[in-house]
Amino acid sequence: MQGNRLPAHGALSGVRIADFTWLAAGPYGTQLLSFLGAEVIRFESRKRMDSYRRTSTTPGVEGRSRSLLFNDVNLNKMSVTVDLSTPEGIALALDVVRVSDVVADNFSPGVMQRLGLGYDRLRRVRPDIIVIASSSCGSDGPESRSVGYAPTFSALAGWGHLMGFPDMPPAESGRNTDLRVGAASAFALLAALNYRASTGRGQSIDLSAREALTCSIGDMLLESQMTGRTPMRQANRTPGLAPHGVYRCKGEDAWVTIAVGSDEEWAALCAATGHPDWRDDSRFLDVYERCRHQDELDSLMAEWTLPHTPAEASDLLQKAGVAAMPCLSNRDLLQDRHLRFRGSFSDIEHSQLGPITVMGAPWKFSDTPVRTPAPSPLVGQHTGWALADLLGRRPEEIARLTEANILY
Amino acid sequence: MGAEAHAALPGVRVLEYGQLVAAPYASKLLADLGADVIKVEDPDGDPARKHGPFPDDRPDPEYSGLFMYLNANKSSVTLNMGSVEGRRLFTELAARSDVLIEDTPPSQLASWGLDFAMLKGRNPRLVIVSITPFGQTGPYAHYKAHALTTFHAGGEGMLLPNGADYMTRPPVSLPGFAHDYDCGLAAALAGLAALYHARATGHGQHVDISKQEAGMAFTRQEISDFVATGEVSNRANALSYHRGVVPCKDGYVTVHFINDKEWQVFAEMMGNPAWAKSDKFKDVASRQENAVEMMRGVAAWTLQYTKLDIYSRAQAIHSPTGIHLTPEELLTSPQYVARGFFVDVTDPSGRAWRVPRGPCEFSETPFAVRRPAPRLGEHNHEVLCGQLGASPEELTGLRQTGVV
Repeated sequence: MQGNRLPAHGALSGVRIADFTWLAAGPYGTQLLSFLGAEVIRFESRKRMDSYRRTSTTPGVEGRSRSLLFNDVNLNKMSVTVDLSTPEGIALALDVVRVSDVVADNFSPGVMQRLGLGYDRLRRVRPDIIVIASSSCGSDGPESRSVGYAPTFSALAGWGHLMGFPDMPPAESGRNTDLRVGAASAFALLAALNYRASTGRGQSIDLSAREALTCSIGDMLLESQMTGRTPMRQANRTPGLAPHGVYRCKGEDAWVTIAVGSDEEWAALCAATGHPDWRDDSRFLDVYERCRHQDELDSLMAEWTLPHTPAEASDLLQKAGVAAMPCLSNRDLLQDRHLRFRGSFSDIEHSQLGPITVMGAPWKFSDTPVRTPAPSPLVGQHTGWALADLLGRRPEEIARLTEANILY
Repeated sequence: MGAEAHAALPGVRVLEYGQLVAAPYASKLLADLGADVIKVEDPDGDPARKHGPFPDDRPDPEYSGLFMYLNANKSSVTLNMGSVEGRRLFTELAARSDVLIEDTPPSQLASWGLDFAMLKGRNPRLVIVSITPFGQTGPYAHYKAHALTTFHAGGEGMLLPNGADYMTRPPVSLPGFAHDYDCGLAAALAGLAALYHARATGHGQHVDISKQEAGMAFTRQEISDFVATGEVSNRANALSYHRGVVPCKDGYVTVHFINDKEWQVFAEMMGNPAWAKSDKFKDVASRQENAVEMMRGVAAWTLQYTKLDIYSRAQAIHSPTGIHLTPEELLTSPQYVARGFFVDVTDPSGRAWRVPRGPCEFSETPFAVRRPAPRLGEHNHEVLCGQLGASPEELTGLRQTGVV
């Protein structure tokens, strides 16, 4: 099945990305830009297939174009199969780079250089190219070769120590954190695109997943410097707010969040829960007292939430002006009326997977709406388009390259 | 502009009306790339000034670590948005800006007569990025919220602690303000995309950032899982045979044995003890079945060593083993130090504090701290008189009437 390019669209209309990324973090970063209208040409090879292609989560469904996980982070993209271990394959990749604005990869540091696709080479081909290399610890430094998965680099970024229950070992984050790193790379590329728009100059960007995560706990690094104390994981608590927790409700693994900032919110909560007596309880008179007696407060809250479903509890509290929400699972999100109203999910048709639902982009633009998700490409679906239309190669040459397993 | 010659966003004017973390982090990312950010604060200041941490635990609104980290490089102007004149000055500032980043509840600006159409009418190039708990539209748009509630409404909480071996305790939050930082990054990203478009076309626009959706974005793979299997993802079904947190002599280690090779390499590091060679652990399936026993054996070994010891030995043989670093350890991490990841922000007494430079390294346009975080209203004169042309006398009048 031959693919064509998507119509020009959005804020990044006219921006082309030569995408050498794989797994989750890299592909998600370029996918975010594809939602904004960038044209993303994904380089793949049957010789060294993205493991995500092989991760079929659909029971009984096999095949490299049938992975929902792969689909999920490669929407709106094109796939070109080129064997990058051959000089001719590299030459083709460089020809695409010549007509591209951005090159992205998330191989281990050094791989692009060994392939002959290092920044200096790319810059000779396209002087204003913007290149981003994303890796777990960055391209230099004593730990640049460090190997690991999302839980590994989030532990090394200091997240684990600060996440979870204070009386338990550090908590780990999952593959969600790969996507967080992808968001950081999309941001970095947009900064570089703006710089290029005003100066005509490209540059290279070195993104360390660890560093991207540690930025989000910068204030806790200051706490340790300023107070001499080591900040500790707090589960769901935060200074200055109480109650501030996640409470069990009626139902299987059913929970509701409740967060009270001011005395007015506290008064509203007491009224809404039918406990006007709590207002006069000396343990809960003001924020300071509520924080001091948080364990007792949490027990009372949990007693109140337990007979309610999360939706009942949060509706009651929201009506009174208290911040509360159910903890939503993946199933709940798909059914959530607010998210449905906002069009957060799209039903799409994938030629191999059939009709499926995917999440859209996490922002709304008034004048350049984000792209409605288009299915991920089949393996090599756009090789013909890239060779013939983008690079202007003759049919006989394409046949020769195919025959020689360069386009493979 | 000499110092900004190699900034990514020189001459870009950003107006921020934001509090605490999300909106201030969005404009911080732009400020550190060279944008001129004017931060409008209510007369009693951004609540981050009260939040701390404070040097030696002495609260002082000019010494809040959170505030200094998020607001270095910015100018501070105080405006009472409850006053007609305060709103007029705000409109003037917006008319001179490329990007406005704000976090007021939906319809708050409109109720002040500062609706998006009016602001855009005054300045067609203006990009407005609004950050709210649930977005500008929809049934929850006006819900009361705190970061805790929007985070857990985004789905990731149900997956944390990821790989927990219990369901008795509640889902947990990300570290500290991490959810707010995520939202700030989403806003900065979207703002830069709209700015890119405005440069090319002269047309600004309004970008709607919902904190729930910004957090939910990271659970898209679990959405696909549900589509595939119809199963609800939770923190315990992410538990698997191939990973875990184990204690060591001075903290915690995270280990992964996703395939046979990773297990064999780790077993070799442990000196190939007899138990590890048992058939109980010979392949993925048997390791899953005997995971508890396996992890007990691994912990018995790791407990003899320090984290750094284990980390360097494991990584030398390409075992995907990590260690849980504390804030102190991060500050002296050889990797971070070698890469120059920490930069200084100085407090009003001139004392320097170490903060992350930013989420990546740019070859041409590095993130840079050019000046410390502003004191409350430090730039009232410079901005209101210097840029908007108010006379010093008028400024005095504005002060006396509580506008600034």
